[in-house]
This record gives sequence, C-alpha cells and structure tokens, in this order.
Amino acid sequence: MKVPRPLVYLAFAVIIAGAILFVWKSFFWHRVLQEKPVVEEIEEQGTRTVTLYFGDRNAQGFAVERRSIATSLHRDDEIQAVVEELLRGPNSRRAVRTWPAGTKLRGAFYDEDLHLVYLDFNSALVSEDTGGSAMETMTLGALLRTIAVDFPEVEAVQILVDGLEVETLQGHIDCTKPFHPRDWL
Amino acid sequence: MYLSELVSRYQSLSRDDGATIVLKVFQEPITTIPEPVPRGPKIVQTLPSAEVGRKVKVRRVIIDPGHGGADDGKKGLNGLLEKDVTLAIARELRRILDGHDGIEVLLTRDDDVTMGLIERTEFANQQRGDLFISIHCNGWYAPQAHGVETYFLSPAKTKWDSQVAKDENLTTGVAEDVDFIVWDLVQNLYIQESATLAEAVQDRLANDLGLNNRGVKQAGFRVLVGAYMPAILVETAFLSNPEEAKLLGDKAFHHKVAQALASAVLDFRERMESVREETP
Repeated sequence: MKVPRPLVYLAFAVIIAGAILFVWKSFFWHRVLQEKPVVEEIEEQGTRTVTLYFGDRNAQGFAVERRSIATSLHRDDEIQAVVEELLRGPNSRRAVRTWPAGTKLRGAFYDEDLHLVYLDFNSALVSEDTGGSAMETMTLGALLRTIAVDFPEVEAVQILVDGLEVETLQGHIDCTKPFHPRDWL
Repeated sequence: MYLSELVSRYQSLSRDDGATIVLKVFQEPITTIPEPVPRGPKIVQTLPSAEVGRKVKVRRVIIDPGHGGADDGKKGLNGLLEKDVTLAIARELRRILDGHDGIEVLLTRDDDVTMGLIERTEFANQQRGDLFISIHCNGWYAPQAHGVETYFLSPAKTKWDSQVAKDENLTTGVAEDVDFIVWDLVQNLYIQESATLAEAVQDRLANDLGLNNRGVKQAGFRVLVGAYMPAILVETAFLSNPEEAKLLGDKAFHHKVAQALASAVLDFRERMESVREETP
C-alpha cells in the first residue's frame, strides 16, 4: 500500500518537532523554571517616593525633602535605604544635615513580630566633637519623624552603636530603650 | 547551661536571604519609654488635680554641672569646653544661693571628674534634694542657632511598654523587673512641678539676660529619669554660635546666668508656697 506523500511529510514533521521539544525540555526547561522567581522579583521591584526630614539653620524646625528609593521585598532594605538618604544630607542649602561627620549605618534589622527596627550605626554617631540637647533632639527627631512617615507600621526604633546599646548619643537623651517614632511627629 | 539562664532576654532575627542571622542578647529585660519630640515652647502636660498643689518645699537644691572629666561635652568655636563652663556657672550659683533664706546648695560634681548620668540622679536622691537643676551649653551644626531653652522630662507611657514586657516574658519566661520600671516612672510624679520650675528658669534667663527665648521643651533626658524631685535641664546658650560662645567664656556672663537661676529658684519656691496656701 502506498502511503500518500503528504502524510509521510506530516509524520516526519511530527517526529522532528517531538525530538526538538524533548531536547529543549531536557536541557532548557528546568532553567526556565529556576529563573522564574528571579523574573518575578525583578518585576516586583520598582521605586517609591519617601519623605526625609532634615534640620533648619536654627535647630527649631525641620526641612522636608522627597526622594525616590528602590522598593524591596525586605522591609530592612527599604529602611536602610531611607536612613542612608538621611545620612547623605539635604539637597537644599537652607536645610542642615543632622548627623555627626562620618556617621554610617552598619545595618537595619526589622523584627516583624514586635514591629521594632534596630538601626546599627558606627561610632561616629557618638563622636566627641558634637554635643548639645538641640543637636541630639534634632538628630533623633529627624530620624524618627522620617521613619514614622515612611514606615507607619514600625512601632519602635532601637538605636545601636557598633552593635551595642548606648546610654545616650551625646550625653542627654536616653537611648537605652526603643523610641516610638509616632510620638515624634 | 541553657542560654536563658545566662541572659534574661535574647532575640534572634533572620532574613530571608539565607545569609544574615542576628542574635541579640540583652542583660536585662527591655522596657520602653517613648520620647516625644520637643515640638515647640510651652508643652506642658496636665496631671490629675490630686497631683497638683501638694506640698513641695525648697530647702536643698541640687545643681548638676553637665559633663566633666573624660566627657568634655560640646566644644566651642573658640575652644571652650562645655564641662568647664557648666562647672563655673554651678559654682557661682552655689556662691549666690547657698545660705540664702535657708537654702542649701549641693553640686553633683565640684571638680573636673567623670560622672555617670544615673550617678548624678542617685546623688540627688541620696541627699534628699528638693530640686534638681542640670546645667548645660547647647550646640548645633549651623552657627545661626542661638538662645536659651529649658527641658523637663517627657512623661513615660506604659501601655506599649507593658505589652512588650508581657510578650517578652511569655517568650523567655523571665519575670518582669518591677523595680526597674517603677524607677523609670518616678519623675512622672513631679512632671507638673518640673514644668513650673522649667518655666521659672526659662523666664528668668530669657528676660533677665535678654537671650533668645527658645521655649520650655520636653524630651527623654537620661539624667532626669529617676529624680525623686522636680528636675530640669537648662541649655544656657549655644557654644556653636560665635557671639554666644564668646559670652560663655566670660565670667561676668557666668555670674548673670547664675543670678538668673538663683532668682528662678526663689520664684519657684514662691509659686509653690502660694499654691500650698490656696490649696485647702
């Protein structure tokens, strides 16, 4: 029996397509599956606008600036990004940076159960060339206002220096216990 | 030995990146006191009337010269150290007020020595002081800031603190440190009197010396927590302001500040005595 030539071509095409599909699935399909979460994360990442507080020249009020930070699946990363923007200082010449020179954030860790964030700074935060209640209340006020506005879910902020609790930053405000950011608004 | 026997509280924090684990160890249970920001002048908390108008005598005044020893405090633009200025003003205040109309003045430190913040309050309590005044000099990153401001302690709130303590006790099985919490709340008993004292000091310094009046403010000052008496902290002037830094190095200015503080103590005593007379 003579098989019609079109059917032979069709059979060949099906076999070849099957072989291609098999090879592709074997070698590449699992890679597609592995990469899928990465693709999702990239798709979820974006930017958000945050509000930053700096001091005024008289240490009597705050200057506000808005900037954009990258969003993250981790709340810690967003808080760290915001605090680093504060440390970077204001863009406006009329606003004043509220941190001692050389202050850096070593890390931010968010406890989702207590809604408590630990901010770990380097020792420049407690350097000796600073001082005064105005300076200390403005440093804390700018930080805690910023967190209260940008992360309203944060109930408390514990400040650490080189990983340890400190009594005060510059000899005045009690830093041994967590602060409530909303109380500083 | 279990970790919980070595420390009273610990906490582990982990992040989903699989690379970061934080183990935080506390030597004592955490209790928290919120620190409301000083938003402006005249933030005075009102307490139930039972707390107002009670007997407050003014016989023994504790003066605390801020910083000292290894702690220089703020360094002025002219090289002046805050610890030296505060001690000079405190000594002058003692010279003026001690022995005046039955008032005795004691200094927490009478030399250039290092002294802890809690140690200062403990001294005041042990000496059974009737008033506590901590003297400081202010500072800011910009030279424009100037003037005088007086602080008293923010009242402690306990709702969230108690909840945290409760949560922690549930997870660690550690008993709540009742004494520690009560100690933190002691100054709450004197918030009204502290506010009155702060107003008296602020009025005298701003009016008698003509300094820029930055107002009476509240914040969570470590040195005021636990003071079993009306307690305030006064920031006399700014060492970061060129004109005021010059003043703070002047003995005549020290005398004027001390005189204003002495007058404020007498004003406060008068107000307290008039309250006592009005109270049935």
